[in-house]
Amino acid sequence: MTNEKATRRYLGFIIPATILFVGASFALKTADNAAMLPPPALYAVSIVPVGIMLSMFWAHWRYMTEIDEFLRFIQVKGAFTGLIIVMTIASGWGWLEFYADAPRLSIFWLNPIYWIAYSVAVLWFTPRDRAAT
Amino acid sequence: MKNKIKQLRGERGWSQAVLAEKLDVSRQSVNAIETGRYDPSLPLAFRIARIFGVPIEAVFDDGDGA
Repeated sequence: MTNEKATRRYLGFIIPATILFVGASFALKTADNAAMLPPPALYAVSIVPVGIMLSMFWAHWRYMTEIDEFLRFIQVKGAFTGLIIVMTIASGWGWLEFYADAPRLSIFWLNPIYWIAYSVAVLWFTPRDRAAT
Repeated sequence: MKNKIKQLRGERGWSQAVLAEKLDVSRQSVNAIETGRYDPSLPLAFRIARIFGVPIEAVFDDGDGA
């Protein structure tokens, strides 16, 4: 499979999945606010966005196995940067919550923070071609 | 690692895109290897040498040769 085809397939999956994830998250929040569902049902329904989230990581995994080694190197650096940022925020803010009464940060935000950090990092690491042709 | 990809490519009149297509990699990859920003794996380095029809030492120089 060519890099272009792999990228198209990846984006063709990840963009709708992101929209579905955000939509499912808002639907859960709305259902909770309106007390439409009992807590056990909310637990059950929360499987939907979790499943979407896992499918996004699966699509990313597949993409990384399909592209060439240099593009994979960029993806690995982007994913690792996202991991560093998420772990730093989780631990750093956790200490502040424990010892400095910092406002509570929901761990829900770690997933969006990861994807944002990963995306910015990939853009940062993607080389600007110096010598054309 | 230094390399002579640009020179070898120029001698054959190939653009980066042409070489990338022959190697089945992206043009960004060829550019990164050519400009020394990325060292290819051994299998890719051998493929590059074979495409040019020269020994691998004629393409890449790790600066540690005799």
